Amino acid sequence: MKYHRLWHHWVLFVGSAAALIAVKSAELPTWPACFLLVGLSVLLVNAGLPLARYCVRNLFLERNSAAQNAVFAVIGTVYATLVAFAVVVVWESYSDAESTVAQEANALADLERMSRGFSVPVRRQVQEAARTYATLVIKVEWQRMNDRGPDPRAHAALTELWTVYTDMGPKLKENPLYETSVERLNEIDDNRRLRLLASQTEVPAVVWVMLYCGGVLSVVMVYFFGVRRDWVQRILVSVLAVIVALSVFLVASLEKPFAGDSGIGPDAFVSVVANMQNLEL
Amino acid sequence: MLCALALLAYPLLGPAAAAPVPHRRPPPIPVGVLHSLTGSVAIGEKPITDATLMAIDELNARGGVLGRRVKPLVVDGRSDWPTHAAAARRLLRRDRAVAVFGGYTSASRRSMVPVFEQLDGLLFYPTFYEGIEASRNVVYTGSTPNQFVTPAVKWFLDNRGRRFFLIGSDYVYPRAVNAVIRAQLESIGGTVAGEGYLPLGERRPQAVRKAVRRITAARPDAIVSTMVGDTNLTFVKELERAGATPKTMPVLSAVMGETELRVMDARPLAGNYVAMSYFQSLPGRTNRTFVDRFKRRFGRDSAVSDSPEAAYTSVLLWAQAVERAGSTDTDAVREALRGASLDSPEGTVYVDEENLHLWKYARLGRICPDGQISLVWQSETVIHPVPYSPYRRRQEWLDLIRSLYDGWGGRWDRPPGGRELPVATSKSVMP
Repeated sequence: MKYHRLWHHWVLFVGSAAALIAVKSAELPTWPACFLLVGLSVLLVNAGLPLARYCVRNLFLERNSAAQNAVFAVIGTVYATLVAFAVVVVWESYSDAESTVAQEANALADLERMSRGFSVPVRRQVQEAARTYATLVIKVEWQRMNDRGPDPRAHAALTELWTVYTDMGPKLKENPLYETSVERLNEIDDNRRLRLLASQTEVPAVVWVMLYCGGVLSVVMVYFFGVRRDWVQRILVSVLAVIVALSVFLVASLEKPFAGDSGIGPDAFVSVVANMQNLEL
Repeated sequence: MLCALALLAYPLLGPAAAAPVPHRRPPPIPVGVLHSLTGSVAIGEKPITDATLMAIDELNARGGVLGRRVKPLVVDGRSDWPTHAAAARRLLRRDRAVAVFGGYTSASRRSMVPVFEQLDGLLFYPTFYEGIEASRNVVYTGSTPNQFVTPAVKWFLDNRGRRFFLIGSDYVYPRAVNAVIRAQLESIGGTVAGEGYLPLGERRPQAVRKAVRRITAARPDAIVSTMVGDTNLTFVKELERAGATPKTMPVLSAVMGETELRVMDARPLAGNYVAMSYFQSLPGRTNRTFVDRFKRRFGRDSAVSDSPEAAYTSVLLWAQAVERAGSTDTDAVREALRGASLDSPEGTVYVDEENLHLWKYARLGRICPDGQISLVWQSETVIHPVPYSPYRRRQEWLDLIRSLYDGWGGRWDRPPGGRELPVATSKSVMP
């Protein structure tokens, strides 16, 4: 490996590290973010290789190759387990959030459908409030719940739905659909709370530290493989960087189930609104 | 040497350099302020004009809107509805007002709306009202019945009893609001013990006494009053004479506010209730500073109530929308208003995307002997504005309004000497 113009590699190394941080903190669309993350990681590890090898020369590494392989195998296994654990956790939380949204939307659709068994004024009130709630969830709350929390008006529309049922006179409460409707209302409320909670969930900082440290350690271990051919080592380190970057990207994009392009959308609510019956105003 | 050169150059460059740079101030933005400054309702509308002008002055003190001063064009509606319509037309056509803050009575609003629709102007109407209207040319910053009367009636039903007597001045607002209450009570298990109307401005004790006699004979648990002005005072005094007190037969007013209480002796009314979205006594820093500024400007004895507060909020909402739209164009401002929110003295309010009414809190207060209203209850959240009450179809509400208008001979209140129209449902126990 040639070590002249080492400062070029320093500049490239620091620059790509800074760009990686910028890409991670910027809210880019999924595919450009993935492409940049992988590309910059490959650049970073390739810029870091001559710097590492400048410090520890090949002759020394070839002598200690067996011990290093064993350590790399341990680090690799532990890191793979950690990544698998993180991916399973975020994936489960993502699919739970998806099912919570579906349950909330289904309960709303049921409630609206059951309101047809009540008197026309009740039906009109339920339909008005249900439509308002769904529309606000779709148009306002979905955008804001990740960073600014629940929408006060969506909460108000749900309270209004409750009011329709709690304020009913004794005669209306005798309707056989009353109890089931209140159950559905409870489902909406519970699932809404779960949805809002899920929108705020994050992978714990300690897991992120482990993911980053594990990735860096794995790459550093490959730097010190006693490989004679320069290009072979570059390929090895690049492949590892791609795998680590993709793992981090996967965890990051599933971390917030409602954020970004891969986030869960309000499609379930859109379909409910589309199927709501219009009562004559 | 340099000094000499400077002296030589001065005659050539000096005057040009010293001449003031031509600086054209951008023209002000004209807005209309159309309330009655004279006539029977002037007393109620004066504080609304005051609050509107205060908001405009505050905007100008902060640099105006889009870097331009806001120029209020104050016009007197003279408590006359055709005058309101004519003035609105003049403001939009001749004065090129980009928005008009105005209207108090439903009659004034209903007279002006066709003008705004025809000329595509923007009216900000700051008064709680009966609903049954949603024009794309009006931003309704007052409450609809489901945002003040309906929750208050429910509170009374839960805390006082099931039988209500509905009494009001005989014009469109009380008639429509009482129709909503009647339908609500039928739905939630209350009963209407009776319903009656007195002519607008009725002060004759014998006429009021007759109504009170009917009320006491019906023995309701509570009275819902939509009577305006001095009639309230006579009414409460007559109730007291008949042995009814706020404890035995409380009156829930859906009209009165601190402004009205300030100009009458509030002591006989103390202990009764008011349903509104705003009271001067509300806690919170935004409200306290608003009330302080209002009192500093209009005197310690002045009072703020629901409509002046809504008028103040109207101006701020309009300014916010203009800044957001980057233009004073009606369409652009209307679109910028949809979904807008503002931290107002009554709390955060939101403009509904569909009907251009505000989402606001419902509140119930008790009248104090000093004319203030203390908060008794407040809704858990802001309430969605529903101008057309769900108890009837939209067309049925419009038919009701039309039948009142026709029944009163083409006007929005009972004509002097006119007969009392029958109430809106056959179940009424009133003659």
